Amino acid sequence: MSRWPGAPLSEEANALLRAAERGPLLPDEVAATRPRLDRAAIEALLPHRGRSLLLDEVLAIEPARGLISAGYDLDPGRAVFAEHFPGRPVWPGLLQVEAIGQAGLLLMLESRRGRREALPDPDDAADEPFAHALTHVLWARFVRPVEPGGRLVIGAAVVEDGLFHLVVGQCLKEGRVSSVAVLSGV
Amino acid sequence: MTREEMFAVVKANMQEIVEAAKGRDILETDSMRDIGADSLEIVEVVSRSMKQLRIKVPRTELTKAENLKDLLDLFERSAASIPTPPDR
Repeated sequence: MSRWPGAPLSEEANALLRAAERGPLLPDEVAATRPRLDRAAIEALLPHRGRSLLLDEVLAIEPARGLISAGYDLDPGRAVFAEHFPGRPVWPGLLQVEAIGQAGLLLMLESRRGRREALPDPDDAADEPFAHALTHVLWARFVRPVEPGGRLVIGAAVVEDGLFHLVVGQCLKEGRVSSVAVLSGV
Repeated sequence: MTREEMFAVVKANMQEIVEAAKGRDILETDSMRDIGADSLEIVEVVSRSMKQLRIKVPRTELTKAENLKDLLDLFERSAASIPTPPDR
């Protein structure tokens, strides 16, 4: 069954993907000037909890530009490092894709909240934390291993694609790209 | 763009995306769900059809469509609301 039958990425999404491969989508110096969200504020938007929530802090969120940057503490004490892999701890690539998806969802939900505040729509009563969901992983590339210690920065850009949203995202450690992924959601 | 042309676009997308629709006659009175499309396939068919037809129907309106006739009614109304460029 052809779920996404080779539909090419739009020019905008392609440009974002190329930018995500080169460096931070939201540079640190820009993020440094923006208000941050702590984990409690993130939980007010996203339904993920506990170990499944892979964002500790939002470093910058810009719904108008469709951009978000978030951080995750790569504490060497996290259980995942003991298991993946014993003697050679690496933060799993699939968790990086999940973190990118969560950053994209957070941005979609915050954008939706802003729209509804500006223009309430009584017909659109979808339960807020579940108003959006990811549906496809269209592409992913793992560039370099993420070792324990320090902070992972997760950047994502969201663009509309018909009834879908495309999330173009990246994970970085110490300014270097460790993974890039493109997901879609509704 | 006539209603028949819009229906042809929707049917072509259904044939491509919905396994159960392949090689089957599709009528306006059919609903995609009855034909066997899951919710994600329905979103894909509608999203792709709107892009191809260059129309945009709000999600809240789309959820009210119970069959392809309702969907085509929405598409027709949306297409009619797009101003025609003046003749040169």
